[in-house]
Amino acid sequence: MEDMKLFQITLVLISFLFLTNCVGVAPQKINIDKVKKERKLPEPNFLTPEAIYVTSGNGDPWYPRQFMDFRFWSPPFFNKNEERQHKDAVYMALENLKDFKIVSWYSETRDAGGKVRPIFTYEINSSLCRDYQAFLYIGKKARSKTFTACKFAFGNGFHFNYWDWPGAEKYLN
Amino acid sequence: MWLAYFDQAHSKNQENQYCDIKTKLIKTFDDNGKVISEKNVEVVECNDGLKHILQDAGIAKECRFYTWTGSLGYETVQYRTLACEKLDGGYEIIPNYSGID
Repeated sequence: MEDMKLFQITLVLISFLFLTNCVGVAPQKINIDKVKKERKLPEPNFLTPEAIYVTSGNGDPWYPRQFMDFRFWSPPFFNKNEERQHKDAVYMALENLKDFKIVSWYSETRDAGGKVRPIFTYEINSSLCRDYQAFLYIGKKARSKTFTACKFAFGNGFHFNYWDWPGAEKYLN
Repeated sequence: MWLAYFDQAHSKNQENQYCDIKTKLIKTFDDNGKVISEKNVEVVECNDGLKHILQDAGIAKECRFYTWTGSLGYETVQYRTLACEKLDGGYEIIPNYSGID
């Protein structure tokens, strides 16, 4: 009986640890009118307590989660050209820009676009990692989120490390 | 018998090139600072069509290709993306110019 209780407590503690480590950085609701008026990106959310990054092995290559739920199953969503522009912006920023420099892209066909801003660069083991803020909008809907990307010195470009926590969608506008 | 004549030379590498003739004034001074000679030299500068409208309009300082490493299936590929550095210090991606380097 004692063993069973101990087992249950251990299980709960492990689950708690697992959940806390799964916590990523939820996308922020952004007022696009304010961003356009002030011509300034919102503050990145990496300073909040929930900004805990978890690596999943060597990270994933480019992944649809970069679009922060602007996906076809939850409209509005980006078309192929816009997705390509955002991918170009992310990789261009990661490989070429200094921290806090901003690269923007604009849709050719509608009021949509995005901005990418590397905010922190550091080394872990033999990897170069960069935290960066991505900001995306389609019409009045705008979202901002902090991501992490790492690349090995001998590797094949940046890979992305991030986990979202269940229920993060409710923070999307 | 067929005779063919073309008055233009075509090369794949020359497509989309933007060329500009710039004049440089070269002055030579002696030890006393006196001008010994002065001459104008014309230099032809060509690039791959990087003179973008943002640069022409004076909105961007410089437009150029930026390279980055990504994957195509299981292969590692060098991509390139055209972006302009604007006067405010930010950068802008120019659509339809990106591709594999």
